[in-house]
Formats: sequence, C-alpha cells, structure tokens
Amino acid sequence: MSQAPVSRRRLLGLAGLGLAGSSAGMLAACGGDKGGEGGGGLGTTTQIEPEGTAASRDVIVLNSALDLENLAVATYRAALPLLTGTALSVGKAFLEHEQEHADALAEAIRQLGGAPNKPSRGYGFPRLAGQRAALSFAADLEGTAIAAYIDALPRLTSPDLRGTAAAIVTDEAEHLSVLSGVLGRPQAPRAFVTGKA
Amino acid sequence: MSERLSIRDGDVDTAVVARYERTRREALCVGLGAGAAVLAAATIPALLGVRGAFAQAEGDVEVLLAAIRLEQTAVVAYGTAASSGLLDRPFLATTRLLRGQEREHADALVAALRQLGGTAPPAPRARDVPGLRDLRDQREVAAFALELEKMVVAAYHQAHQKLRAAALLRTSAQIMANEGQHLVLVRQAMNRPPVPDAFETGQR
Repeated sequence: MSQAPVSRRRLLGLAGLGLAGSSAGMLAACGGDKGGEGGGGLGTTTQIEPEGTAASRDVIVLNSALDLENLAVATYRAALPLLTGTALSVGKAFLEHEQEHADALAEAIRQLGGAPNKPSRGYGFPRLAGQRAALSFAADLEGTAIAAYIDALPRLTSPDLRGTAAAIVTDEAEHLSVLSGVLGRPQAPRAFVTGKA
Repeated sequence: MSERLSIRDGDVDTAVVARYERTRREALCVGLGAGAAVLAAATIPALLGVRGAFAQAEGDVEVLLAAIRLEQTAVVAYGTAASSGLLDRPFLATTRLLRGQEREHADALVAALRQLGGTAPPAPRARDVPGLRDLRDQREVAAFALELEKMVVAAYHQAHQKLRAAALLRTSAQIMANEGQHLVLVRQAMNRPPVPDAFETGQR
C-alpha cells in the first residue's frame, strides 16, 4: 500500500464501480471528481439517471453504496494487522461501523424487492507498507465514500432513505476526522465536507 | 462534571422546577441528551425553540430559514464562549474554528435563501439566547457545545427528509457531515468516544 494519496478512480475501480452506465457505475459517476479536483479524477461530472420505478432506482443507488461499504469493510480488515494501540481500536470500531452500513443497505435493498450486491472475492489492494499507509488509505477511501454519498443522496426518492444516507455520510465524515487526527492532519479542515481533496 | 441543577423524574415541588423538568423532558425527546442537565435551565428553551422551528418547517424556504436560525444561534454561542475567558488555548482554538465554520454555513444558506426569493432573519444576539452567559467553566461550555452540535445534526438529519431541491440536499449533507466532525472535536475534548454510533443522527 503506497502512502501517496490513492486516486478516486483507483478506489472506485477496487469497488467495481468503474464502468459508467452499469448499475454499479451510477454512484461512481455521481461521486466522480470534477475537473481538477481530488486525487485521481474521473474527469467527468456525468450523472446517469437510472430508468425504472422509484423503488428500482433507489435499489440501484443503494447497491452502488453497498459496493463501497463492502470495499470499506475489506479495507479495514486488511488494515487491522498493521495497526497497534489507538489506531487498532479505531480500525476495529470503524470496521464494525462499515459492516453495519453494509447490513443496513442490504436490508433496505431487500425491502425494496431488490437483490443486494455481494462483496467482491478480492479487491486487489496495493501492498500495505505499515500503519500510516494503512490509515492514509482508509482516509482516502472515506473521502471517496463521502463524495459518492453526497452526490447520490438527492437521487434517492425515499425521504427515509435520504435520512439514512445522511446519517451514514456524517458517520463517514466523523471517521475521516478521527483518521485525520491520528495522521496529524486537520480534523475539520472545511466547513463543507465534500470528500474531495 | 457536576450538575448545577439535579432533578430526578417524579413529583416536583414548585412551578419553577416543574417548568424546568418539563423542559428537560422535552429536551430529551428531541435529542438533547442527559448532558443537557448541566446547562443553565434557561438555555434549553432557547435551543428548543430553534430546534422546534426546524421540526415544523415544511418546504425548502422554511427549512432554509430554520437552518439559518440554527446556524446563527451556533455562531452566537461559540462567539460568546470564545470571548468568555473560560477556555484553555486548545479548546479556544476549537471554539473559534467551529464559530467560523458555522458562520460559513449560515452565509451559504442565506445566499441559497435569497436565490429562492426569501429574506434572511436578523442574527440573534447573545442576550437573545438566555443562559448562555451563565456557563461557568470549560466543562460546561463543552457540554453546551456537545448538546448544540447534536441538536444541529439531528435537525439536518430531519431536513434531508424534507428538502426537495437536489442542490440544497447536497449542501445540507455537506454541512451535516461537517457538524459531525464538530461533534468529533467536542467529544474528544470531553474524553468521550469520538464516533459512538455507525449512524450519526445526533442522538449521543
């Protein structure tokens, strides 16, 4: 795992969200970097409107979010062996949170009559080089998730689901704040959290 | 942290205590936690009034107005705390940071409201938030900040179920996420778990 910021494209690719136009690609497109912003940059603000009923559209958005949550679970699992002390406690707690998000999204998808996407069998993470690199990678992932949720949130037709998405994205912003603190970075650097560097 | 006024549930003796007790129960109902008990009793109705306006708001303009009042109250609260002389250097820096970001939120929301043809309400003054000046030490200021931020997060969480315009939903989410980060800073200052739940709705 490199200590250099991981590009948003790379992270979305790890989550299987790289193909704009596919169902899983919608959130990726929604959460992509705008030109010149962010670490990697999809270089597009294309937003893909899914077709179908309100429920089916919500399922597509939720499944894309679920893909990111599954990636987050895998990321923290991969990071835990590299963490010690406070960082390990943080990693364990955040792993549980990400799993709770994934479980809640999967349940919401089922309630809408959809089928939750399953986690990938392997995400092909870059080599882990130590605690700081693992935390930095997790912070990049949290930023990517925040950006994706914020851009996707208005696409949810259900007010309750919008509330759930807001509760999750705020939790991810809190994760990012804690990780930033451990890494010696400002914990609330901007008044508007976009998840973009 | 010692409680200035400790009242157990049950019978009450005086009208003043009864009013406080009713207010405290209302506070708990809308998400102000047990820490609210350390606040000056007169402060809670002021916070509840702002929070209540948010709960009753319908439509983008009303939600924006309520959010602006909430942010303006936060600016006043943090400004008063920062000038109180009660805070050590690290927490003073945090308080100033939070005040500046709440002001940025308020300014952005006012701009959005004007685009919709609305008029921003006048900003409150410190004396419009009763009890704010009664906070006695940094622990009480931190407890007040915790309750304030929880209330703000809870209000924005509710707003996401009411707002309609996509741009406003995004702005609201960006602000709510920042308020969550404020909660992290305040909880850490109070030696509390910084992220106690997987879903941040301003309840703890």
